[in-house]
Formats: sequence, C-alpha cells, structure tokens
Amino acid sequence: MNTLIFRTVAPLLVSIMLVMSLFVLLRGHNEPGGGFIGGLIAAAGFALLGMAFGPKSARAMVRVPPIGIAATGLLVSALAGVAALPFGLPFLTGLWPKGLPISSPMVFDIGVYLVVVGSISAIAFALEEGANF
Amino acid sequence: MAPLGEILIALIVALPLLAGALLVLAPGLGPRLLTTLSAAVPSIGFFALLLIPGEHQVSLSWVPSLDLPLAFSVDGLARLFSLTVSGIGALIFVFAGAYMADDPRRARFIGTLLIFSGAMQGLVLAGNSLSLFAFWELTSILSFVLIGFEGTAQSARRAATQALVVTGLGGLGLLALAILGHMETGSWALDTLPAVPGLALVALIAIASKSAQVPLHFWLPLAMEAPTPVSAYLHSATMVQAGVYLALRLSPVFEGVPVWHGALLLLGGITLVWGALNALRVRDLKQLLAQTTLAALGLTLLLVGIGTELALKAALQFFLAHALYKAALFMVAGTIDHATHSRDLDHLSGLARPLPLSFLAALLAGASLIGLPPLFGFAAKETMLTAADGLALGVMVLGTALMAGAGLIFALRPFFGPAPVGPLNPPSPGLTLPPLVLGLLGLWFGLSAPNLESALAAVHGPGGHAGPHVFSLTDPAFLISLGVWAGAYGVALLAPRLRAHPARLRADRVFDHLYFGLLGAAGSLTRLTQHGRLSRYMVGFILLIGLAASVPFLLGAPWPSLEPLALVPHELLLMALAATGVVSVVLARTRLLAILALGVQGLMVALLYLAFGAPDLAFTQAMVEILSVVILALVMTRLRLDTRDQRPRADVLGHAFVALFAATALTLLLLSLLTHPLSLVLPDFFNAESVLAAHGRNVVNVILVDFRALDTLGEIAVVLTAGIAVLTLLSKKTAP
Repeated sequence: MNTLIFRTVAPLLVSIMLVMSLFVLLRGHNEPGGGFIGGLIAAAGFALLGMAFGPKSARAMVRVPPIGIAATGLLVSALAGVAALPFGLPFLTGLWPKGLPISSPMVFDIGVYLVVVGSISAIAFALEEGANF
Repeated sequence: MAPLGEILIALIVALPLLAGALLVLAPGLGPRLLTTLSAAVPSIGFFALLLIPGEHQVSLSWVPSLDLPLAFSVDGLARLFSLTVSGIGALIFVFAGAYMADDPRRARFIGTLLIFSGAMQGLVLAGNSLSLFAFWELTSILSFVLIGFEGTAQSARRAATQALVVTGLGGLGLLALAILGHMETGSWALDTLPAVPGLALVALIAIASKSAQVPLHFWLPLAMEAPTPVSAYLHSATMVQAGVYLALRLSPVFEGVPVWHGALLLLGGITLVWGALNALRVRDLKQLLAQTTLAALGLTLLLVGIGTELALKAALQFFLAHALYKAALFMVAGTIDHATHSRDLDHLSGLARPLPLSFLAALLAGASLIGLPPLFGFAAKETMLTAADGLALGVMVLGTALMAGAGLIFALRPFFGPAPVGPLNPPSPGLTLPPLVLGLLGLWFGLSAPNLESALAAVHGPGGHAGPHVFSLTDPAFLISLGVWAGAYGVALLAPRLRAHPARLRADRVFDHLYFGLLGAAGSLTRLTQHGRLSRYMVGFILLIGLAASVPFLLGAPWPSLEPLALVPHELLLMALAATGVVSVVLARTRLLAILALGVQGLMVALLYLAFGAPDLAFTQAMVEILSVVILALVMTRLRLDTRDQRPRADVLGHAFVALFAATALTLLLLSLLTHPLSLVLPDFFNAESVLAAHGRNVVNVILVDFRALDTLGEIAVVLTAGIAVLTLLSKKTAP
C-alpha cells in the first residue's frame, strides 16, 4: 500500500483530518460533533499515517506514545470533574466561568477526545507493526 | 468523667493495638525489653479498668451517616472478661517472651499477639452490635495470622484457613444479628434486641463457630499448630471465649426463647461429651488440652442454656476458673515441649524432678480442672452441679468425669515414672513462673471466693447471690462430686487403651473435602466456560443475546404487528444497498471482501440515520464503520488468518442457525418496542434543560459531557483499559 501516490497524499489528508477532528470536537456542544467523534476522526488519521509510512515512522511523527495520550485524557476528564469539588459542588458538576469562553464540560470533552484518539491509534499501530502490506 | 473515661478505655483497647503494631515494625528489639514492654501493656489495661468505677459508657463518632458510634460500655460482665483478658494476658506475654527468646521472629509474633489482645478487649467492651462485630472479625483475622505463624508448614496454613473460614461464618451470623436487630428496633444496641427465635438462631451461629461447638468444632484442635503461647491465650481468656461472652451478653435478651435454650443445651451437651471423650484418645499434650477446651466450652454453653440464675453464676465462675487453669496447663505443656522437644504422652515420664515448678503448677491447675477443694474449680463445679438437674445433670456428670480424667492424666502422667533419657533444655523463670502464678491464683480464688455479683447482675439482673460457697459434706452436689472423682480415676486408668483407637470420623477432613471440592468445581466450571476458542465465545455470546431477546415472547408477549412504513425512494435505496452489503458478507469468497462488504452495509445504515434526522449518530456510525474496516483488515493480516473461510460445513450451518435465530429474536423485540408509545419525559427534560442548565444546543453531546458525565467517565476508562488489554495481547509474540 506504500505507493508513491498514497505516500504523497497521506500527509495532506492526515493534516486535514486532524484539523477537522479538532473542529468537530470544539463545535460539539452546539452542533453535531463532540469528543468521541472527533477522537475517532483523529485516530483514523493516525492509522492512515501508519499505513502510509509504517508504524515506526508514524510513531516518530506522533512523538508521544499513543496509550500515554489516552491515559492523559482520562486524567484530564477526571480533573474536569474534580474541579467542582473546591466550590462545594458534587463531582462532575459543570462549571461556567463568567466572561470566559471555556467550561469544565469542554475540558471533559477534550479528555474524551484524547482517550479515544490515544487508545484507537495505539491499537492500530500495534496491529500495523505485525502486518505486512 | 467523660474525658478520663475515654482515656482509660483508650489505654485498654487502643494501646495494645498501637503498641503491637509498633513492635511488629521494630524487629530488632532485644528479648528482655520486648518482654517488659509487651507485658506492661496489658498490665496498664488491667489497672486502667480498675480505675473505671461502676458502669460506664463511652461513645465516639464513627459513621455519623449510619447513626453508628464506636461505643464502649463497661458493666460487670465486660469487667470480668476484660480483667481476665488483660490479667492472663500479662502473664502470657511474660511466658511468650521467654518461649520465643531465641526466635528471630519474636517481635513480629509478640506484636501480633498484642494486637490480638487489643481486639479482644474491644470485643468484650464493645457497646453496640456493629462495634462488637468489627472487633469480632478483627480477632478472627488475627487468629488466622497467629495460627498460621509457621506459614511455611502446610499443616499450619490448613489450620489457619479452617479457623478463618469457620469463625468467618460466625462473623456473618453476628453481622446478620446486628443488621436484623437494627431493622427491627432502629438501634444498634445489644440489650434492646427483640427476643425472637430468628435472631437467636443467627446469634447461635456466631456463638457455635467462635466457641467451637460440634459440628463447627474441628478448627480448634487444628489450631494447635500455633506456637504454644497463642494456644494458651486463645483457649483460656480470648478467642473461643468470645462465643461464651456473646452467649452471656445475649442471655438476658433471649431468656425464655425455647430455641435459644434448646440449642445451647444440645450443642453444649454434645460438645462437652465429644471433647472430653476425645481428650482421652489423643497422645499429644496440646491436643489433650484442646479437646478439654472443647469440653469446657460445651459445659459453659450448657450452663448458659439452662439459664437459671444459679446456672449463669456457675457459668461465670467456671469461665474464670477455666481461664486460669487452662492458661497454666498450656504453659506447662509449652515448657515440657521446650525442655524435652516432645509432647507425646506415651514417651514423657519422670519430669517432676527436672521441672519441679512446672509440676507444681500442673498439680494446682489440674486440681482446679478436676474440681478438687479448695481450688476455685471446686466452687465452680459445686455451683453447676447444684444448678442442673435431669438429663442436663447426667450429661454434665459424664462430661466432667471424662474431662477430669484427662486432667488427671495431664497433671500426673508426664511427671512420674522412669527419669527422662537425654539432656533437658533447662527452662527459664519466664517459662515456669507464669503458670505457677496462675495456679496459685486458682487456689486463692478458691479460698477467697471472688465477688462476681456485678457480672451476674449484667447477665441475669440484680439481686443475685454470688457470695461464697457454703461447703457441706451432705450437700447432694458434693456427693455427686465424689462420684465424678471416682469416675475420673477410672477413666484415667482406661485411657491408655482408648489412646490406641484414635477417632475415625474427622470433621476437619470433611471440611477439606468441601473446601477443595468447591475449588475443584470452580476450576472445572472455569475450564468449561473459558475454553479459549474465540469462535465458541462468539457463538455463546450471540446465542445468549438471542435467548435474552426471545424471553418476552416465551413469557407470552404478543407478536408485533408489522405496519407498512411510509418510505421515500432514497430511503428504500439505502436499505437495499445495506441488504446487498449483508448478503455480500455471507457470499464473499475471501475474508477481505467480507470485511469491505460489512463496511458498505454499515455506511448505508449511517446514511439511513442521517435520512431519519440523527446527524450525530450518523456521523459516529460512519467513523466507527471506517475504523472497523481498517482494524479488521489489520487484525486479519496481523494474525495471518487464512484469506478464505475454512470452517467445516457443519460449523457453517450451526453458526448460520445461531445468527438467524439471534437476528430474528432481536428484530421481533425491536419491532414490539416500537408498538409501545414512546415516553417523552426524558426527551422533554433534556430538550428543555440543555440550553438553560448546560448552555449547549447539541442535546446528545450535552448528555454525554454534562448530564451523564459520570457514565462517560466510566466508558472512557473502559476504552483505555481495552486499549491496554489489546496492547498486552499483541505484545505476546505469538507470530514469528
């Protein structure tokens, strides 16, 4: 599958997919989209990268271990829930700071995004390592 | 008084727990310092309790949301038990320090024993049922550690496991008592429990397991695997006496409940005779004492079962007398073991000369066991023989005669006869003096008759006469005593013949069969269900879904009626394409083609979602389908599966049947769900609140990240875990 055409187009395709995934993630609260679907798009992009250049090069391009991204995501989501505790509110209560365009549900959704992209691309890379195209 | 009382209770209960934990952590302590420290702790507890006058309650906040305080209560009964636990405990620790002086594990051993003594203090001083339960379980767990101290020996592990399982069963009984009592009365108090047979039964389970009543008795003789100081403590003042304590504590509650009295009489009677009989059939000194402990526990519960004021007084007296002589006898057995490295009755002889102090202690304690005047055991026996009549009296005479026979053997047999061969390991004063002190205490109590009136008041109400026993030669009880002594002498003469016939039916072996049978059955079941064949897992999984989906129809739900759907041409086209995809999966020659066809079907479904106005779902479905195709194709190449399906025809037909069955059942279920009117409560709520409460217009996403964020948190944790699991599986290099 590592044809010249595929390898030339892949980086372009993957960068569009990653930008798209972020866009889908951030618009999710008001329009179709969200962390889960955004994560799936990004994971598909990473998987594509692995197919085009081999998992070894793809890992180098991603720089951090994918399963680490997933673990960070779970931590981010959990912290987004913990953030409500100092205000005397129950775990995972949504916080909406006045005058700022961010909120704790958005941070939570970013965590979901990271878990999905990390786990799925970790699986994809691991599978690609043993596969011969 | 309140703060002082709390400090004193803390000295009695918390100090041993803390000091024990510290000793366990300080393994380098010298034997002399260790002995001093460990004996000082129960001594402090002993005097602290003496400083608490009269009845006293202490209540500390524990679990306020359950309205559950950690409560301690000092009354006559608690006082008697607590003083016995700490008083005998102090001597036990002197003995233990000498016994373990050369053992490098002594600090861990003595520290654990100290923690155990604290747990026992908590148990007897507990002021409500759940505090009692907590300390009760703590003693069970610590006794597991102590009995299994020689953990490298298989027999010790077996003994510890049996003790834990059996006494754990009793703990469940006690927990049931606490919870049922709370449901009935709304309080965790012990003395306001309603006198109903059901509660009495769960209490009896706790009592019978902890106090080793037949048929739950077998763990106690096995517990002889523990080092001797443990046996001496567990069998005299603690552990097994917890059941006796509970029986006495609940005696005023269940007085007059027939099943309470009946069961205690039955269990106690059987255990008394069974234990006393077996005491004559064993050769090991510690086994002999363990069997007499069974008998003594049976005897005490028999007295509680009789339940009259005199019988309860006898139970209290006997508890104290037994605690004193049994601790002393165990220490003597330990000293003999230490000196000769043998505990075999048929080999020991002539030890009176080399071990004179031990011999004296054995004589004093043995005489108390046999019930000879003027020792305290005599007073206890006179009271109990006066308190009983009829069948109970007969059983008691038989049991005490057998037990006295065993006591006679223990006190005399190892000490007379030809002088021992070989050099003896000379015992230190720490080994010989504590049992002697206990023996002399038995003598002193016999002469002075301790006042047990406040303890009796706690178990039977005030106004009792627990005063000194008035001795008279024409007392019928004394005449019976003469018979008991004669019987004991005869039994002791017969014992060598009995020893040649050890018991054949062994309840501990039955336990082993049950225990290992259960483990074996669990193993077989696991091997049956977890066979490791992926295709069979899939068949089982899909079959189960089909069965679950068909349950409503098997229970008589009406078949769904298929109403014609108003479909527009492009929806029909999508459905036709999806169906084509599925048919292609089945007909595909190669696996790769099947995977791609499956993806086509999934994408058509995603488009259908879009056509029906669910863009979020369609979006996600499309992405999942794309990734599924990618990952399935990768799995296929990675696992080097055949490119073609090689299943035998019979398997293909079976799988087809399962798939069609599950699909039909699921379709029918979904169709019948559609015939029910849709409840709009939740959609209305989420539509109304989404913008107002959560500031988001995409209701699906708002539900995921806000309203039900906890679910999502759990789900992403599962996604991460699944990812780690897949990585772990793939990292095992199965393919070259």
